[in-house]
Amino acid sequence: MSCHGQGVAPRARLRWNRFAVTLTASVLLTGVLVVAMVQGTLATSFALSSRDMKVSANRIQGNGYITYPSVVTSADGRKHPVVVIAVKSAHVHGLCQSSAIPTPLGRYVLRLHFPARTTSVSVTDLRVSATTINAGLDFSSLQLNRDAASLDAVPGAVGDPGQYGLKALGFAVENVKVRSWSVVSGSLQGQGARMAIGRTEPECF
Amino acid sequence: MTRTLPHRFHTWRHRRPFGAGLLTALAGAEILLAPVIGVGLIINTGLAGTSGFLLGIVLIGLGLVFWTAPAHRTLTAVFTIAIAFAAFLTTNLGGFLIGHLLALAGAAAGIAWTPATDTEDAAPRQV
Repeated sequence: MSCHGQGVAPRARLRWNRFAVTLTASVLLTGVLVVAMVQGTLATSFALSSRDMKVSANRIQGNGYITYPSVVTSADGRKHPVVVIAVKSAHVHGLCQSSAIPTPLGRYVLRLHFPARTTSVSVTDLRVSATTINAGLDFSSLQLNRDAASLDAVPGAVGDPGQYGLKALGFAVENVKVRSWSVVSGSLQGQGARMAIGRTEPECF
Repeated sequence: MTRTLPHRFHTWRHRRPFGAGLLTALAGAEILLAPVIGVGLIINTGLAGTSGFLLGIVLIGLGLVFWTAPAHRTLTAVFTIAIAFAAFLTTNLGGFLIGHLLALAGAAAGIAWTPATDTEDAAPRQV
């Protein structure tokens, strides 16, 4: 575009139309990536910290549940065998998640907590990479030892061919205690969340 | 050529895409610091430590390149956009989107910047 420069000598300036075109194009691309992540087609790639975390809940009930074995790699390069739990949609009561963080100032515990008396938390497309799970289970339409690659209860989540797989259409679990390497959720909605970090903060279990 | 310091800074600033460099360097700093300031949010994003550190440093470097090599601003901007998306994908969404968007704005400002025609490092005026 030609000059609408101020004054006699044209000064350095921004061509705002170019600025807008470049910024719009790149932000649109960002939007596409965000949509892809939300829909789960593009995995949010975060590497795992070198520490596992604890997740607990009083009660989880929902639809579409599969489990299969996998391996995750943490930031320090170590590989950890895990059980992947994928859930299509669920309501969670009393969700709690904590992680102990060693810092130069000592050991801090970070805890995200939805008190049990508050309304339940809705999650969709939940993936948990767990190492140990303790829970009381109630499954419906259960299929054990189904080939992990054929699991179809949760869109986008399948294991490797030949591996053990578990599928259930409906499920309810109580007093869940999970040690986990990662928790990824397509969406998580709840009210009354409390997040705290402190040296005296208790862990979930 | 003895002039006041503010005036010399003013001249220096107008001979290069100052805002572009500033935004890009800020983006790098934000991505670097995101794990420190937002410790509550990065609970399971530990990797971001490594790649966030590298990409943050690179973005700060690109900000300095905007200042020191105004002639290469378009190439610098392209690199900045590429790094911004790399950071978005690998490090906490590029510092929780803030750093990512700052870097994109910096790159756009770098592409949009046009030097004054009366300075010796001015590019031929395009229409």
